[in-house]
Amino acid sequence: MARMTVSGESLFPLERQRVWALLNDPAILARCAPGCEDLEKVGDTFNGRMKIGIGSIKGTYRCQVRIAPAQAPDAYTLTIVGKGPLGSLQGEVQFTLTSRETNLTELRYEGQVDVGGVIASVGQPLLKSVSDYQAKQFFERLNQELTARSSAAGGQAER
Amino acid sequence: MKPPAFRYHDPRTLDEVIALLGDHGDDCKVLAGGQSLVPLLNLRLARPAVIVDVNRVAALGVIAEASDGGLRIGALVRHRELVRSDLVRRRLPLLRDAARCIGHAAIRTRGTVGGSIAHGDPAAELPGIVATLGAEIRIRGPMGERSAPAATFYTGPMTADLAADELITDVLLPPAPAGAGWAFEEVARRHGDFAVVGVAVLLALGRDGRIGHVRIGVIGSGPVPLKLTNVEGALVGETPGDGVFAGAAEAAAASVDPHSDLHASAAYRRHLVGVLLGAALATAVERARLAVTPR
Amino acid sequence: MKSYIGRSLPRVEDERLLRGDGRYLDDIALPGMLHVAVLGSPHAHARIRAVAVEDADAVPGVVRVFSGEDIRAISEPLRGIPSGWTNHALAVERVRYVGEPVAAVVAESRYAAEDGRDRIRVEYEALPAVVDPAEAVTDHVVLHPAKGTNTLYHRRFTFGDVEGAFASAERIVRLECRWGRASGNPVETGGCICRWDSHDGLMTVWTNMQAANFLSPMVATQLGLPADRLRIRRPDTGGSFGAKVAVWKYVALVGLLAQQVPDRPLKFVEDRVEHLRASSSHGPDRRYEAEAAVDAGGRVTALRVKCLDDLGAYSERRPGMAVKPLTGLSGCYEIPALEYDVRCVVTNKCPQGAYRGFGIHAHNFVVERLMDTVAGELGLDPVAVRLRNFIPPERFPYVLPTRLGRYDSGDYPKLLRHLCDVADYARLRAWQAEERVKGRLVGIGVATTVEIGGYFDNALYAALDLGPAGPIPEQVKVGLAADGHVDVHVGYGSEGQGQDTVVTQLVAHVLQVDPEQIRVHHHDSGDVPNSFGTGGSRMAVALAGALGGALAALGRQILDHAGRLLERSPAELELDAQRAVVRGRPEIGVDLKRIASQAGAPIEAQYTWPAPELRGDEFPLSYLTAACAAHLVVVEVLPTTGQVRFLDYHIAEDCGTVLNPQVVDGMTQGAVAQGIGQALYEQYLYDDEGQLLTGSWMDYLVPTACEVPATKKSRIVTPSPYTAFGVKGTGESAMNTTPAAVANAITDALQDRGFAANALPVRPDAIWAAMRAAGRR
Repeated sequence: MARMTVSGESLFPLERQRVWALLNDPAILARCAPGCEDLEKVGDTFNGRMKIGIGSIKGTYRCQVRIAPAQAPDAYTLTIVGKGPLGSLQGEVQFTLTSRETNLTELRYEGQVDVGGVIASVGQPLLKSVSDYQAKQFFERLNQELTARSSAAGGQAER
Repeated sequence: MKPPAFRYHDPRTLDEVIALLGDHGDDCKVLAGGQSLVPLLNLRLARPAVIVDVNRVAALGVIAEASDGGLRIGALVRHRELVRSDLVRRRLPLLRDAARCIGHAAIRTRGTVGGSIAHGDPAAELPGIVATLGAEIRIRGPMGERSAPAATFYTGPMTADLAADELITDVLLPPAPAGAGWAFEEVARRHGDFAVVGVAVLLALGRDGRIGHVRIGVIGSGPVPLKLTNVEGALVGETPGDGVFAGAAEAAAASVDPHSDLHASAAYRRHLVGVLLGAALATAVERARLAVTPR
Repeated sequence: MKSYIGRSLPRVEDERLLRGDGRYLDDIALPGMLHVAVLGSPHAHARIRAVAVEDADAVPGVVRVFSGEDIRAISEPLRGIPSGWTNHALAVERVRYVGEPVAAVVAESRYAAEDGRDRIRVEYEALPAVVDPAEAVTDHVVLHPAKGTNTLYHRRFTFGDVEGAFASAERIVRLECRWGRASGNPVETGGCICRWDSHDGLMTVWTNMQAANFLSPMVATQLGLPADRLRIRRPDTGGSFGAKVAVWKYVALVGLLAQQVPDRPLKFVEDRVEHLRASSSHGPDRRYEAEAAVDAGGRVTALRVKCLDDLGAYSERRPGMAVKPLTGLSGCYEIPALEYDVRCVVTNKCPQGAYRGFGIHAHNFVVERLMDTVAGELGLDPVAVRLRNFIPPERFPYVLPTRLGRYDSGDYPKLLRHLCDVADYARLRAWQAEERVKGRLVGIGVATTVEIGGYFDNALYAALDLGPAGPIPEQVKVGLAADGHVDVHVGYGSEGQGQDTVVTQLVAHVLQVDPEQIRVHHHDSGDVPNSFGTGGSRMAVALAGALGGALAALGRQILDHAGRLLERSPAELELDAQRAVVRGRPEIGVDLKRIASQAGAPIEAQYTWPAPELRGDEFPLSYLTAACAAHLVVVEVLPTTGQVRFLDYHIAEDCGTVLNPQVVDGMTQGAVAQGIGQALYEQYLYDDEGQLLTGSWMDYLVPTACEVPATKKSRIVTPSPYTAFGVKGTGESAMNTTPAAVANAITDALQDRGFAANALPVRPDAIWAAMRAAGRR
C-alpha cells in the first residue's frame, strides 16, 4: 500500500447548509467524481463504479463510499474502498465546511488514500501528481455544479 | 511480467488505423515505439483489448519543411532521426538538443515523436518543446482531421486532448526567427533519466540588441509541460544581461508549482527552474549574438 | 619456461558469451515445461484471512494454484538461522513485507500463469507496519509474535580497555552515519526450473543460485529429500554479487510445487519488479553511532561502533552481514581497544540477503569517514592521519584485538604512499587550494580498506551461534586427454568473474601448455568435484590451492610416463611447450599428445584443497588473506545544483600475487560502479506504510556507464605467506572504499558549506538544501 496525502480547499458561493446537502447528493457526486460511471445510495453508503486512469493505465474500480456526518453541517468524513484490476485503494478524507460570509462557504479537505498493487511500487513519482490532479478535477466540477445551483437558487429568490 | 491477451492489428494505411480506432475506441491502444506502452502492458497496468500497431504506416514517418518555413514532423519519426536530421539541425537546433536528452540510444532508436507527445509525460522533452514553441498537433479521428493548439493540448499529467479513437499524425513546429539563439538545459538524476527539471529557450534579438522574440518552456515542474508566458512577456524589449537573466530566473522560479518526489524536493525543483533558465538564456543570447550555425 | 601468471590473458569466457552463445536459465526450454507465477502481498503487514483460488483455477491453461496452506501441509517453514524468524515458502497466516509470496500459479505458459494470478482473491486484515528500525526496537508492534520481540540479534563485543582509552583520550571524535539499503541487482534475475521425477524419486534443478553446492543440502532438507536425491545443474549466470544466494527460497518453493505436479519441469524466473521488492537480497540497511578516542597527534586509541541493522521481515539465512565486521573491525588501523555493539531488528521490508562485501563494506565506510572526521577536527591531513594509524608492516601477520581476524601480510603505508605518488597528491592539494579561491567546490577524498577473503571459515558464525562450523574445501579434477588437451573439471558456478580464465592460466603455467589446449568443464552437483562456488573473495585462493595440488600430481604422472617413453628418470625431466623434455636439453622430449596416447590408462588427478581450519587462540580467525586497497577521488560539487562530478579517480591495490591483472581490474571497476551506486544513487526507499517506493529501475537508480568514472589502477604486490602462488582473495575491495572515498571527497569539497556526507546515498537536492541553509546562517 502506498499512501498519498490529499488536501486542499475550495470556496463555494452558497450557504453552508446548501453545500452540505449537495455534497450528500449521489447524482452530483457521480457527475463530479472523475471517471464515475454510476453511483447509487444504499443506506448511508454509495456503491458505484469508477473508471480511474491516467494515460494508458486505467481500470474500472468497484467502489464503496461512505459518508459519516460527524457534525452536520460542519464536518464529515468520507471513506472510500475500491477494488479493480490494478489493485485496491482505500481512503479517508475529512471535510470541513465553514461559512465565510453569507452565501460563501469554504470547504477544506484533508486525508489520505492508500493504493495497493504494482502501481504503488512502480508508479510512485506519478501517483502524487495524479491524485492531486484528480482531486482538483473533482472540486472544479463540484464548484461548477454548485455555482450553477447558486445562480439557479438566486433566480428563485428574485422571483 | 507478461501482458494479458490482446488482439493485434498492424494496418498499412492511415485510413485503416482510423477505422480500427473507431471500431474499438476506448478498448484500444496505439503502439508506436512502445517505449512507454510495452512496459505498462508487461506490468499489466495497461490492459487494452486491442493493440493497433502503426509502425507500418509509412506516411507517418516524414520530416518535412512546412509551408510557413517551420517543420512538419510525422508521428512515427524516431527521436534518433530528430538528432540526425540535417533539416532539424538547420531549422530548429533546439529540437535536436532536446531530443538528444531523451533516454539512451536504444530508446531514441525506437521511441517516436507521436508516441512521446501522446503519452504526455510532464517531464519528457518533446511535450516540453511542443509547449515551448506553441506547436500545432495534427490529429485524425473518425470525424476527420483537426488541429490542437499546444496551449490547451495537455490537460493533466499524461492526459491530453486526444480521444481514444484519435491518432496524432504529425506536429507542426513554427519556424524559428532568423538568427534565433536557443538552449536546452536539463538536470536528471542519471544520464538518460526523465528530467528532474528541464528548460527550453528560443530567442531572437532585434537590431538594437534587445530581446525581440522569446519562447520559454519548462518540464518536470508541474502536471503538464509549461510555457512561461509571463516571463517571456517581461523579457521582450529587454537588453540581455546578467541582471535581466537573474530577474527572469527569479520570476520563473516563482511562477512554477512543482512537486516533491523520490528524486527531488519541490524546493529544489523550483530552484532548478531558475538556475537552468538563467543558464539557458545566457547560452541562447550568446548563440543569437553569434548567429551560430551548429555543426 | 613461460609464465602465465600475472598476464592479462583475454577471458576465455568472453567469446562465447559475447557472441550470444551463452545459455542462461531463461534460455532453457524443456519438453512439457510448465510455468509458475507468484502472487505477492500488497500489504507490508497483514493477517491473511482467506485465499480464494477457484477463479484462478478456471483460467484456461492453469494447471494448479497453491496457497500458503497448501505449502504448510507439505513442508516446514523456510529454514533460517536463527530458527523461527521465517515464514513458509508461501506466506501462512501473516504477510510481513510487500511482495511476499502468498500464492503460486502453475500453468502451461507464464502468460496463463499471470492470468490466473490476476484472479486469485486474498482477503487481508491490515496490521500496522513497522518501517523505522528505531521503532522496531521498541517492540510496540511485533512482527513475529512467537518471539515477542523484533530484536533478532543483539550483542556487544568489547576487546581491550575501551573504557580506559576513552577516559584518558585527548579528544573524542563522534560521528553518526546512515547506510542506505541497496543490493546486487544482477542483470539476470534469479530463478529455477525444478523437475520431480516420481519414478526415480529424483529432483533435478536448473538454477542460477549462487553457491549451489553449498546450499543444496539445505534445499534437500526443505524438500524432505536425502541430499543425493537432489541434483543441481547450473546454466550460465548473468551476475550475482551475492544476490543469488537467496534464490534458494525459490528453489524450495518451486521444488515443493514440482513434487505436487510430478514429472513436468516447472520454471520460475523473477521479473525485475519481483526482484526489487521480494528477492530477499537487499543489502545492509544501517544506522551507526561511532566514536574514536584520539590522542593529540591524531592516533586513534580506541574505537566504538554501535550498529542498528534493519534486516527486513525475516532471517532466511542469518544476520551474518552484521557480524562479519568483527573480522576487520579496525580496518587498516592498529587500534588496541575496540567495541562493536550490533543490534539486528526485523521490520516490514524485504529480507536482507548477501550483498558483495557482506556487510563489512558498510562498516568500513564508517571507519573511513571517522578517520576523515578525526583529521578534520584536529586540522590534520587525512593521509597523514591514516599513515599515523596504519598497522606497521612489521606487525604482520596481524591478529586483530578481536581475535576474530588475522591479516596475513601487507604494507599499508607503502600502498598509500604509492597512491599519493601516482595521483601526485601534494600537487592536487595545491591545485585544489587555487581552485577553491576561484569558487570551485573541488574536494579530494581518500579511503583505504583491507579486503579479507581468500576463503572463509564458518567457524566465526558457529562461535556466535549463527550456524554450523566447518572449513569449506575446494575440489578439482584434471586430466590429460588422448588428444593432448588438458581437461579441467570444476564444481563452481560462474557468475561472470572470470574463474575459467584464471583456471586456464594456472594450468597453462604449471603444465606449460598453451591456453588453447585447456578445456574447463563445469559439472552438476553430486558429481565430483565439490565446490562452494564464489563467495567471500575466495576463488583465486581456493582454485590456486586445489589446482596446485591436482596439477602437481598430474605433472608427476605425466613425467613418469614420459620417463618410460624417453628411458629417463622422471627427475631429469620437465614440462615445456606441450612437451616433457630433458632438463637443459629441450630437443630431447616427447609431446603430451603422444604421452597421453601411449599411457594405456587415463592420466588424471583429483585434489581437494583442505581449506585449513583457521583456529586462533580464543576464537576462529575466519579468513585466510587480507588484500588492501586505497582510493583517491577528486570531485567537484556544482554550487548551483548540488550535483557531484568526478574529476579524477585513482586506485592502488595489493592483492598479493596477481593471476590476471585484467580480471582483477574488471572486478574492481564493477565494485567501483556498485560503490558509486551506494554513495550517490541506489536505495530501496519505503514509505511509512512499508510500501516499496523504488519498485522499478526507473526509480531504483543503478548507475550506468555514464555515471561511473574511468579509474586509474595500479598495484603493489605483497604475496600471501599462506596461499599457493602467494595469491590473495580480491574483487570487492572497492565496495568498502568507493562509498567512503566519494563521501570523503564530497565532504572535503563542502568543508565550509555545511554538508558532511555521512548518510548514503547523497542526493543533489540534499547537498543543495544544506548549502542553502549554511548560506543563510
